[in-house]
Amino acid sequence: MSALFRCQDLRVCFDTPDGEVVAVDSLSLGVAAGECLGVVGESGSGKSQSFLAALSLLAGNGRVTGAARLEGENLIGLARRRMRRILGAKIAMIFQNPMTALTPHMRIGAQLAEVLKVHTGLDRRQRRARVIAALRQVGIPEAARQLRAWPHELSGGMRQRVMIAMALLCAPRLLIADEPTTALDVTVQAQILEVLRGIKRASDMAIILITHDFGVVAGLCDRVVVLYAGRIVERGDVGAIFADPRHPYSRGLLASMPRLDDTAGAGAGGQAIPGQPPDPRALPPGCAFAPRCADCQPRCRRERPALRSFGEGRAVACHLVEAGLSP
Amino acid sequence: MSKALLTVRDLAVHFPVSRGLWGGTAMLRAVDGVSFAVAAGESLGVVGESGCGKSTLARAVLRLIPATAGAVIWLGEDLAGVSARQMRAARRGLQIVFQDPLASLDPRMTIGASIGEPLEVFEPGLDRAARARRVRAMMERVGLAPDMINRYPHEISGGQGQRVGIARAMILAPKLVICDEAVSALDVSIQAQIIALLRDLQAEFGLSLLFISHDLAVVRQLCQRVMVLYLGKVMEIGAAGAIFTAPRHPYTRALLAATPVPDPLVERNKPLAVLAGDPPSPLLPPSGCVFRTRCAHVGPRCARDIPDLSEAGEGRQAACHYWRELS
Amino acid sequence: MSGSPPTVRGRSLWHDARRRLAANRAAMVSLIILGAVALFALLGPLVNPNPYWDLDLEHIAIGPSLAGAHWFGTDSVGRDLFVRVAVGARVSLLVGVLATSVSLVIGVTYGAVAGYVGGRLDAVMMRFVDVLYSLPFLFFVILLMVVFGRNIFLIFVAIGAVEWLTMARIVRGQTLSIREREFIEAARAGGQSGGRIILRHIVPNVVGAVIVYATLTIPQIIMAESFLSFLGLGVQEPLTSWGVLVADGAAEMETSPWMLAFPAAFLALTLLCFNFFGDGLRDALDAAQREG
Repeated sequence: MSALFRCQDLRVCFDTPDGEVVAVDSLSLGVAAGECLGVVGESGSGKSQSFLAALSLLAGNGRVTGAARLEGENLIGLARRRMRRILGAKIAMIFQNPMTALTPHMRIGAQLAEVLKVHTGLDRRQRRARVIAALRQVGIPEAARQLRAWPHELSGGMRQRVMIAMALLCAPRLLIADEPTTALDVTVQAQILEVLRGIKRASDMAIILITHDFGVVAGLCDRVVVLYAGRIVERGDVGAIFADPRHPYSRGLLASMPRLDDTAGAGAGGQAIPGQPPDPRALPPGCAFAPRCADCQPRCRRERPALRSFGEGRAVACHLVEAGLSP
Repeated sequence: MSKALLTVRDLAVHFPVSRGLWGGTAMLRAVDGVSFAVAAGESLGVVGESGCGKSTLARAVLRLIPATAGAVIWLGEDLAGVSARQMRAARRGLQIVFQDPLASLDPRMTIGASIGEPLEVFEPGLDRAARARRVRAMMERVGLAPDMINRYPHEISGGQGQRVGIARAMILAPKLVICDEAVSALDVSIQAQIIALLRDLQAEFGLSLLFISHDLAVVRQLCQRVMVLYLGKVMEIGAAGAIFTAPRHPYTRALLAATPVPDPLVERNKPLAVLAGDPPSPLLPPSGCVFRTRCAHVGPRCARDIPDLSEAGEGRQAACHYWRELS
Repeated sequence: MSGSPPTVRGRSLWHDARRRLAANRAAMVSLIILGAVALFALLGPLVNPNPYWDLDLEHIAIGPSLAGAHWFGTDSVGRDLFVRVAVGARVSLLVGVLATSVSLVIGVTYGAVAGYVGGRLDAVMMRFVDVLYSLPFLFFVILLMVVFGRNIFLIFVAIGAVEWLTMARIVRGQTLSIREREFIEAARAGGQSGGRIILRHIVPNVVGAVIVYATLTIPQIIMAESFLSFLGLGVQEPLTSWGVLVADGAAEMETSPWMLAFPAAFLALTLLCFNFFGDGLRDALDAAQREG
């Protein structure tokens, strides 16, 4: 499987008044054309920062080292002009809150056409045709009329569709979606996920879906990467990860997560993971999950476990799994 | 049937909304004729998407905003008619936990002071030492280290903040606590902890909960009964087990179908049941059944008559003209 | 069960603001200078042997000399300028601080109540403020002076009576924005009465803005008092203020520049320092507010 997009030993730090804070450490992952990779984690896991860093969209006090290659070309440290050409054309990113991503004082037709103006040499009529086609592709009714709509006139679901349309305009090779449905109602979320599924079926665009919602991952993704405290703790095919999670964190999350099909009903729910996600400013030595792990051994507190593969694209960063001690 | 602590009858909350200089005033029917009851020791989940009126309902029950019509009967007394002083006294037994823990705490007060404030109001005879003892005991009960008593809200995490909110609500041993999206702003692993905490408190204190959430999976874990709202009206209400396994109302069905389940086998093989369109504006609710504009099974009666809640078997009621045909 | 377990000291928002303020060099220097001016006002007349009313007829309008008897020189009737500037400092600072305090107490109470209660009461209260606001300040003061004579207390009543209006408006605005925040709703849901909410939750949270405004009001009040004095409506002779000294000094500007230079310099420096400090305070508290 040749990777369309590959991160290698990505490391993101921030210079803060409290010293250097490492948000992401030795992150290595890859996604192939036509594949959807789910990046799952809670707050502080570094899931958003990793990709913002890869696209040079970090805040001023952030620094990134390592490689993030798109079709072989390393995006880290790329000249700004080249980066601007790639962003929007070869890689597109959509965010959680479409209202802040859309300019409030421009009609959506104009905003979409703007993207084409920057990245392509199409003339006005061709741009208009492309924009209408993109709006239709994401399921916006009466696309031609909606060109003249203002962002604040649209509902949350519609705005997110416009964002996806904007991302698709130049037929990017890779779409990075950062919590695209978290702020939406569940029925609207279902619509947007269906749009993404349709796009995935119709093209060989790769999708990286960043989310905290395992349910969304189960419906859309082919492979999953679980992040904790800025590091990958588990990786694998979606079927394998859900059926047989190995890392104590993934296991704990999937066991304690409320599920709609949970027939035990009120009073049920497994044991919740105790404690809180670690503060990136004060990471413990050794395994970052050790303070919350029920099976923690002395070694776990001293030594940070490395991410080790064990066949069929699966990998886990846990001393116990490595030693074959975990059930 | 145990005696109801709280009975709400035909509650309506309408807001006049001015439509500009020439537009006149329209009526926003946030809550439009909602009735339900909560018995001692029972938890009722209130689910619905944005615009369904669930948060407005909570505030109207607590008389934080005035109700336009209807009765709120708490321990046998209609709260609509009582004086401000009597209302304040009633608040002792009727408490609320808010969605954003850090916003619901006074940033200038220590968390110990915030938790102890209800004691200052309702038990002014307590001296400082006695109050501090009660606060510490409550903090331990909700899983907060008592030595955090002098911390400020901006120094603690979201999960800890929510525990503070719960401690504050519980310190006077209320009979019913309204949880307004109390776990929605929390990380998944923390969410599970707080749900477990609420369950424990329920068991220990015989507490009743009015649990408002957009997340059906959470409601399923916590509540014995469920009420589904849409545009200020009740669509379905009754035993959670019945509603989750065999929903009668088309909207409930759509909500359940749209909620992602963390299991790829289930998600990939779900029949496509995406609800089309956007929710109508609460300023212009459709005539007859408010759900008819998005209902896949709309029939001739739906535009004419508003459906009443009718018994639909297994301890639940549904507001749909055609529920029998659809089952 | 005996003593309470050791607790961790919390880090309040004030603490953060103090730290930020301490890092602001301009603000800290201003604070030190203001302290020096206050010290000067307090101790000046004590270290200098000349009383401020005393006419030294042998030394009329002589220039400043550190060696001689009159360090800042004398004015046109032989009064020692050093002592008079110090006394002027006392009067100006006193008027500034006292009038601000009075306007603060009245303004905060009025504004918080109007903002919290809202509705009809708020509308009536604010219209009253609007009406008072539109009255010409000067006219009002002249009227007071004519009726009651030139009394220093009257001056700061007059000024305070005008300044509380702006304070009330600011506090009302702050109250309106705080009122919608969730912790106020939580307080109401907790059965707290309106009075308690205003006192325990609204006032502590507007105090930041109030202090900043107060710090920036003091120089305005000193200016107002100086202006009145300049017009001849200020304190009565032989008591003096910086405004009076500036007025007198302006008349003698060409022949005896020191008579204008010293009071004007003190006035300008004090006003500048108050403004710098107030700005620094606002920056420190703004950031703390955003964090909180």
